Amino acid sequence: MIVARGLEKIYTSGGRPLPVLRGIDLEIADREIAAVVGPSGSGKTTLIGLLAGLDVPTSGSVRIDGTEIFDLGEDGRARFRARNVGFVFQSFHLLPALTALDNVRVPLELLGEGGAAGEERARALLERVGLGERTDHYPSQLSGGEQQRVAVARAFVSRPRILFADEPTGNLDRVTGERIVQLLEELNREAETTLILVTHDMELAGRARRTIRLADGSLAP
Amino acid sequence: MISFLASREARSALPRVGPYMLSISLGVAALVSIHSFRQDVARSVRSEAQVLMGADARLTTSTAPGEGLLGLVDSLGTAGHEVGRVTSAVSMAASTANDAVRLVQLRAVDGGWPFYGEVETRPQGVWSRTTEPGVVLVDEALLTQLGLRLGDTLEVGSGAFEIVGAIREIPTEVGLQTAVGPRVWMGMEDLAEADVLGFGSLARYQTYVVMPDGGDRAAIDTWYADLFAAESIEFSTAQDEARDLTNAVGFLGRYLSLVGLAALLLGGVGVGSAIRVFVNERLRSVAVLRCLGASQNQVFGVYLLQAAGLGLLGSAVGAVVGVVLQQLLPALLSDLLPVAIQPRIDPVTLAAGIGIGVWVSVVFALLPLLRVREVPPLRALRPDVEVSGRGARALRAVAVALLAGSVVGTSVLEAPSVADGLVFAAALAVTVAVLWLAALAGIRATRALLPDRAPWVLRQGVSSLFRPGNQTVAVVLALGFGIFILGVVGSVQQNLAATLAVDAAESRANLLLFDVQTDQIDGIETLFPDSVRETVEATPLVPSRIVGVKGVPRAAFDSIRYDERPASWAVQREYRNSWRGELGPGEELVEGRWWPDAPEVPEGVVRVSLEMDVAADLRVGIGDRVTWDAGGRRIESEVTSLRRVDWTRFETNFFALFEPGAIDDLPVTWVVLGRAGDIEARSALQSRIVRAYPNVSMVDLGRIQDAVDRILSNVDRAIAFLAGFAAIAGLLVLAGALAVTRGERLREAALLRTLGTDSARLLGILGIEYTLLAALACSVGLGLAMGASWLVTTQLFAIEFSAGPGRIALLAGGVLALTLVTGWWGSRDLLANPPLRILREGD
Repeated sequence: MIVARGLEKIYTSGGRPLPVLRGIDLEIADREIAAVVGPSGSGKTTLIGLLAGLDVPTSGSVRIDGTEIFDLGEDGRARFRARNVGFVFQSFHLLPALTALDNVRVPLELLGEGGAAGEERARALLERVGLGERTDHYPSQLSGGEQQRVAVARAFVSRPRILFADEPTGNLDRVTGERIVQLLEELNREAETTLILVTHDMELAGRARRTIRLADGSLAP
Repeated sequence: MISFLASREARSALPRVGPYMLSISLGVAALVSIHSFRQDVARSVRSEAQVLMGADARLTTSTAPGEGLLGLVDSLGTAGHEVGRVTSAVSMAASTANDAVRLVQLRAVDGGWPFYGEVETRPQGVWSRTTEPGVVLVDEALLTQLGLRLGDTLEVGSGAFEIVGAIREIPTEVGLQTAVGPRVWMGMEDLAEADVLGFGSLARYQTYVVMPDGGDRAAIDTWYADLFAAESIEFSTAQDEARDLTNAVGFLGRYLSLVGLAALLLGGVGVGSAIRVFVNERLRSVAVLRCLGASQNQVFGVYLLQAAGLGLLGSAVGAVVGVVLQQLLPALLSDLLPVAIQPRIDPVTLAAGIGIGVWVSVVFALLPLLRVREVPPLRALRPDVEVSGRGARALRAVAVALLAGSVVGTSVLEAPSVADGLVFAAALAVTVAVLWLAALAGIRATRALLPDRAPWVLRQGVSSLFRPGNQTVAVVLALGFGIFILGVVGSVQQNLAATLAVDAAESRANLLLFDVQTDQIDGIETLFPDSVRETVEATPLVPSRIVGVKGVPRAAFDSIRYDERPASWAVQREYRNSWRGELGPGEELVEGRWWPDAPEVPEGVVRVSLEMDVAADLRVGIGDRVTWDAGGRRIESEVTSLRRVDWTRFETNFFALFEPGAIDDLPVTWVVLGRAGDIEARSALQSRIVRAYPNVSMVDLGRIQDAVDRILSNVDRAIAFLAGFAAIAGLLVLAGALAVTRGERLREAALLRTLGTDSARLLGILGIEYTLLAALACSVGLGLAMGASWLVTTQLFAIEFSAGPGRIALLAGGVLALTLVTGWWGSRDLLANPPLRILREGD
């Protein structure tokens, strides 16, 4: 259960305050699939950044399964993410220095589960996303769709309770994007993960059970 | 279009890249200051050449002028040339008012010398009274040291003289000469009355001639060559002197200009890094320009122009700093310089400095800039599109050739000779090649050796070295090159300083007595206090000249082939030989055998041991004969051993040592070394000795040590000063090299944080990567530096080399620490800020 209360984020731009989120109250239940939609600049990325503890709000709180994440401190939030949160980004954000397999292993390594069993699990997930033959390739040697599949495998490998996906199909063509969405849905079903998607794609948003609309930093009806 | 865009973009580039461009400023500053300073010295000395000698030419002998010289001087006078004589000797001078004594340098003058320049005296204008009988002029320093005033009486040898004036400044006396002792000026007749020119005394007889016509001087040199050789006359002109003085300073200048060049090339490497950073940050803009229709050449032009502009700015800053330093250098080196230096700002030197700075900036920027040409327009839409190409092969070849050509060109320009320049450039090339290979080998090795089950933080840190698009080679090259330059400069400086420094701890004696006659030794020993009497050590001196080598008489040396002919300095000098039963503490036998085991020689021949360098210059080895003239007696000697002598020790050492008993019956004087407590004890002892034996001269070695120390600290300061430049440039290069990969690193670290990595592990990963980079660069850079330093010290300066492990460890530790601090500094905003912002910037 994610509970956000009075979430407000104000950036300073050219010395003037620039409110991006204006007091968001939100609850997302376990295993829910929610799409966050809204025009550019409406605060979508800022909202999920705050929900995941990637940034701190100007005011307000986020509680995940009873934990006030902004009471944790930067390192505490990092450890919390390692245990509970997975990510898929629009521009994949794989570590260029690591092979596909090693990229998928990173979250397990952070949990101290990077041993042989971890490697097996990473390999299995890469098989699952259709990249069993390309485990030793570096991100620069993979196509965009393949990179995003590695990212999906990485997101699920540590069995996170919540998965954040920021425009996961934004950099991909329609066919490839569709495959990624299917993968996300399947894996989400199997792992019983809470999934929060940010998207411009109304069709993708329509497949979610719940739509959270943002307009100018506030929740729209 | 190009200049419009370049000027607009440069505004935003300046704050980002500007600090790194300062590395070129440092190089230009070093070059401009050194060149200007060398010009200042050369110009000042040249314009003062006649004043420094007080005449146009000089004839010097170490014995009273012979008939041939006297005849020549007469005929010069008859021909209308003004002629003046100066006879120099050392003696003790004592105050009659108190018991103070001091070794002084006597200068007896006649004729109108000095013919050029002014002697400043107190009271003014009393220089002309020097030749009056019964009076002397003395250095101001002597008045202070002996507690005397004008009008007091000074005892010199067996005479007593009224002090009628003090010398404030006399342009002919420069530099180190003043360290031996203050000067006393008197007339030629008074010198005879003082009676200090006993047998074997250290005296110099000089005749000065006014001869403004260079043709006349050259003619004298050729016409009288035989006479000069026969009577051991040294003929020199004011121009020769000036050149020698300039060369003496040139020794330092030569080293300094190499340091300057190193700083400039380091600056170039810094520029390379800065441009690499700059290009990385501008890839998006380049792609947009390409989308809008700019050609490859146009975008390349835009950024090349910016590099040149930044180089110009950096160089101009450097030139200004260089001019400021130019004003400071004379003060820093005041004790070494023969004349007052008038710094003059030379527009040509400034322009050349700025020009070379801009050129080096552009040439070092070319390679990283070629990447700009390869940016695909698509990158404007898809920022993750790789910029794979590093530039067309042909263009890269041109850039590399320009770079190599420029390094060779500047090296040849800056170095003292073309050969030295080529050696310097070759050393740089070897360094770069070895660093490059080492970086590649390091990448391979870490990849192969990294255990699959190593802790994740370690694997993550190490894998940064060989990830696709890694900057390992670039960083190791830049960092390693900086360490190499720092290592060489530091090590050479240390070795020079160690060689020049006289080891005070090893010099037991602090009082040196010379001109002691054989029958005075016992009496002098009893004057030393009982407690130190056993430190007193008397060494015989036999003044000798070489009259033949390997059976060839000296007059016939000209007929020997040039490369087998004994060097003229070694033949013409006045030797003070000695005999000794045992090797001294600063001596080491390098060839042959010491007596009594030395090979037997025929009747009428004596065995001699030569110092190895003088033997080499005389072109003699074991078994060769050297013929000496000692006080009119001929001695035939055979070389039976060669010695290495540590001349830096305050001990009596000799070019030629005979075996005891071989030359004892020759005319001989003695030097006596002894130790006598602190400065007061030494002064009291000197008073007692000079009262009892007026002919004996004494040097207070403690005072000399102080003077030598002062001059050495001058040299050391100048070198350390410029080495500091190289150090600061190295730091900038380091910062630049790490900044190259900063953007990539920040993005990665932000991502790792997003995935749940805490600060400790993040720091661990960065720390491991930086440590590996620093270790790789350090080990290779320092290894090469030691090799180069060995070459420079043993080959260029011909001195002993010591690696100094302590210093190496210090430098390595320093570089590692600085690398880590720089790395941490670059990542601190990542550790302090939430990762989201960085992820957004990365898009």
